[in-house]
Amino acid sequence: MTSSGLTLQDFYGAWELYSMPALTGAVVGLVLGVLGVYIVLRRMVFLAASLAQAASLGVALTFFLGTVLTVAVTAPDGLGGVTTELHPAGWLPSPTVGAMLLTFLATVLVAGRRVGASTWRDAALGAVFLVGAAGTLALGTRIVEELHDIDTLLFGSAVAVVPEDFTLVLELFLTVLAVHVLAWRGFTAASFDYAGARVRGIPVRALELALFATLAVTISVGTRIIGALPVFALSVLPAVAAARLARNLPVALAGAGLLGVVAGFYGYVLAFLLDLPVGASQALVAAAIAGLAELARAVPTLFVVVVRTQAFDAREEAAFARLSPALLVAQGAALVAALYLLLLPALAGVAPGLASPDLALAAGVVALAVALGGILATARLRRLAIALGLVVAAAWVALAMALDGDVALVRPLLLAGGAFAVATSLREARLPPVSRRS
Amino acid sequence: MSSEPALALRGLVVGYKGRGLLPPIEAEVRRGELWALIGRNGSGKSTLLKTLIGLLPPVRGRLAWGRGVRASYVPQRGDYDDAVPARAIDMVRAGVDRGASFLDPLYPFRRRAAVHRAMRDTGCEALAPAPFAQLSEGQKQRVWLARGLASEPGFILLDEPTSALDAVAERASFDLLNGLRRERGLAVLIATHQMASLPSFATHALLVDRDDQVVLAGPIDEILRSPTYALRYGEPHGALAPAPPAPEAAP
Repeated sequence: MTSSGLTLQDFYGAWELYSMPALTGAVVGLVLGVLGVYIVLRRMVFLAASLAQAASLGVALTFFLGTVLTVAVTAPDGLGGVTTELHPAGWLPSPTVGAMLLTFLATVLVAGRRVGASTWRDAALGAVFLVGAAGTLALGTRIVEELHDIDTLLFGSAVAVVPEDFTLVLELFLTVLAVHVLAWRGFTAASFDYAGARVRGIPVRALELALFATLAVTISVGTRIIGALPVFALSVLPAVAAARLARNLPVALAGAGLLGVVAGFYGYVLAFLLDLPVGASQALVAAAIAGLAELARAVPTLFVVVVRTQAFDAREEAAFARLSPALLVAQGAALVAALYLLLLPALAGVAPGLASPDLALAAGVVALAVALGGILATARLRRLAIALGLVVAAAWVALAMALDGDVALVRPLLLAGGAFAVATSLREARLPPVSRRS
Repeated sequence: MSSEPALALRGLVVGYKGRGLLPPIEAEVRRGELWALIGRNGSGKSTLLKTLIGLLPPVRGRLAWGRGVRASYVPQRGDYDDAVPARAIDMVRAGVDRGASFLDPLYPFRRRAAVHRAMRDTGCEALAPAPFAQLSEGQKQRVWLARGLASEPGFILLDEPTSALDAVAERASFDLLNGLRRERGLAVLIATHQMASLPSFATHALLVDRDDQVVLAGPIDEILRSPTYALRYGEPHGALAPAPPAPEAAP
C-alpha cells in the first residue's frame, strides 16, 4: 500500500523537518473547519471557492507587479533605498496582503446578506472564480522565477512552510478562532435567525461584518500559504461531516474544527507516505472523512423503510426508562473509542505509548462490545431498524479490525468511522419514538 | 393593562428607499393586547413588519418602544433551514440572548429557568431531546413560540404563525397564544393574510392596504365594522372572496 515504502515512524522520525507544514495544515484546517459550518449551512460553498481563487490572483498579481514595476520605480526617486534590487517598489503590498486585498474586494462585491437577487449573486460568484483562476494561470506564465510553481498557489503542492509564514498562520488563525469561540452564539444568531436576533438587540450587522471579515482573512492567508484547492476543501468538507453527524450547532462547530485538524494534518502525512501533492492529499482526506461521516449517519436509518418504528407500549416504556442510562453510557464509550481511533495516527507522534496496536485493538473491541449490547437492548425495545443498523455498524468495525495492520492511516480512519456509526445508532436508540402528532 | 404603550407608532410611514408605501400609521399597542396585522399579499404588511423588526428604517414618523419593553420575533416557517443541526431544546436556547449577552459564555446557564418555563408554557418539554427537523409542523410551531418566549419578552411579533398548520392545530396554537397573553401580560402582534384564520380573540387590529392607501388601527370591532374591511374581506370571519358588504357586524 505504501508505494514509497515510508511509514508513520519515518514521518515522526523527521519531525523537525515536517512539523511546520504539517502543523500549518492542522491549524488552517482547525479554523477553516469551524468557519466552514457557516459556509456550508448558509449555502456559501461557491463563495469559499471564489474567494480562494481571488486570493490566489491577489498573490500572483503582487508578484507580477513586483516584476513589472522594478525598473519604473527605482530609477527616479530611489524610494526603495538599499534593497531596490530585491523589493523595487516599496509601496507594493506583500503577496499575503495582496491576497487579502483582492479577497476583501471580492467579498464586498459578492457577499453581504441582502445584495440583489440571488441568481445574479451566483453569477457574480462564477465571474469572480473564473477571473481569479484564469488570471492566476495567465500571470503564472510571467512570474515563474518568483513563484517556484504556480501549481503551489492553485493546488497547494508546497512541501515546506517558511517560519515567518508559520508564525503568521499561528497568530492570525488562532486570533480568528478565539473570536469565534467567544462569539459563536452571536454568529449563529445572525446567520440562522437574522430577524429574530435583530429584534432582541443583538448587533447582527456588526456580527455579519465580523463573520465575513474573518472568512476573507482566513481564506486569503490560507490560500497564500497552503493553496486554493486545500483551502476550499478544508472550508467545506469537515464542516459537512460535522454538521451531518452533530446533534446541534456547538457540537457541529467543535466537531468541524476537530475534523479540519485531522484532514489538514493527515493530508500532509498521507502526502508524505504516498508521495502525493500535499493539497490534493489534504482535499482527499477531507473528502474521505465526509464520506465516512455520511455512511455513519446513514447506518441507524438504513432499515427504517423495512422495519417501521412503532410507538412503545407500557412494558417497553418501562424497559426504555430502565435501559436509557445504559444506552447513554454505551454511546459515550463508542464516542470515546471513535475519537481515540480518529486521533491515533497523531498520537503516534505525540505520545507513542498511547498509540500502541494493543490499545487500538482494545478501542475496536469496546466499539464491538457496545454495539452488541446495543443490539440486545434495541431488540428488547422492538426497535428492529436500529438493531439491524447496529449489526451493520458492528460488521463495519469488525471488518476494519481485520484489515492488514500495515496501512498507517486507512485502518484507524475506517475503524473510527465504524465506531461513530455505533455511536450514532445508539444516539438514535436513546430517542423515544416521538409521535408526529402534536 | 398598564397605561404606557408597549409600542407607539406616531405618524409612521413605511416603505423602501425613502418612498412611503402606506399612509402614516397612528397606533398604540399595550401589554395584554393581541393585535392582528391584516393585509393581503402585497398590501405593505411585510414592509410594516420589517420596519417594526428593525430591518427597514422608517421613511417618516416614529416607532417608539415603551421603556423596558423587550421584543421578540417568530419568523415564518420557511425562514428556517432544517439542515441546521438542532434539537428542540437547542432551538429554544438560541432565543435567550439579548444585546451583547452572546459574549458571556455563562449567560445561557443563568437563563435556564426561563428556557424551562418557555418550554413548559408551550407544552414542548417532552420534545426537548428530539431533533427539530423530525418534528411535525405543529410541534415545530410550539418550539418556535417557546424560542420567542425564552428571552422573556413583553412584546412578541409573529409572522403568519399558522400558515403550515391544519385547522385543529391552528386553533390550538391561537388558544396557546391567547393564554400566554393573559398569563404573562404579553403584547402580541400576529401578521396574517388569511381572514379565515383571524384569531377570534384578537382585541385589536391593524389593517393595511396599499392599493387603496388605507391604514386602519383600533379595537377589533371597529375594524371589522369598517367599510374597507367589508369591501375587501366581506363578512367578518367569512371567506376570503370579496362579498357584498354585510350589514351584520361582529359582536
